Amino acid sequence: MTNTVKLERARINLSQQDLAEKVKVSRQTIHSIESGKFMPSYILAIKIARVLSIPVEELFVVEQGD
Amino acid sequence: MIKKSTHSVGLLQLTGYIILCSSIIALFFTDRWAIGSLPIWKYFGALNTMNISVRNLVLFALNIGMAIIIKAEEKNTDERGVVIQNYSAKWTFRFAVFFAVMMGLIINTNWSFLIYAAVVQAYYLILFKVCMYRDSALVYMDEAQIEIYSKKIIKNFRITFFSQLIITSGIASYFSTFQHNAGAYNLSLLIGLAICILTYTIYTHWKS
Repeated sequence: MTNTVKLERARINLSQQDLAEKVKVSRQTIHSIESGKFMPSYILAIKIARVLSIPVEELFVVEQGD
Repeated sequence: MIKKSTHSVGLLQLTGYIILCSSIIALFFTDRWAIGSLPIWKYFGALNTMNISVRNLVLFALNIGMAIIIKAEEKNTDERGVVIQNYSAKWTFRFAVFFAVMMGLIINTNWSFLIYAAVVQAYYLILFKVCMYRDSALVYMDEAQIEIYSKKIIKNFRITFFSQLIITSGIASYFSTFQHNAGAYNLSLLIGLAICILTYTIYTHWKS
């Protein structure tokens, strides 16, 4: 699974800390999600998508091998 | 899961650290505070009848302090922290079983369960903190991936592991021969083993 959180966050000029505060997680968690290490829960994915104003399936893309 | 970075969590953590540090300092003076030597002990008559030593009381406080720190760490976390908690708990359980088995095998004399509990709690706390702050990739791997990874790094381990084992055995031999204390040999072997495990745990989880 890949995600475009970093790109979308940069698009609206939002820092990792700002996004973390908006979705009520730590900055490290956002960093882990962006680097592709940590797969967020369904609820957190929706929350992030809402803050970034983008559909969740566009933000988190399931690849063929997954 | 919501991150609860509140004042109360900070206070809880501080309390835990104060109890932990005080207990560690107090451990050095427990011999002087034997039950009955201080006037205050007369108010704790039940402890006298139960034959609970001051050292055990201090170790009990140390365990409580550590438990409070763990509780505070777990409160102040989000869903990534929960994943790390589960991972740490799994590996701490494995460590606890292995350590108990080795203790049963190596140690012939009575061994305090309070020390064992403190060692296990310390292992959990260290593993949790290292994984949390280094964001170790191992946490997110499944068993098959961990196996592949461990095969890769086993070569690096071999030399350092054997050198540590030789040093540990040397120290243990010194205690048993020159200090004329055969029991110390087994104990130093066990401590050496625990230090080896701890070193490799930190080493493997340090790479983010």
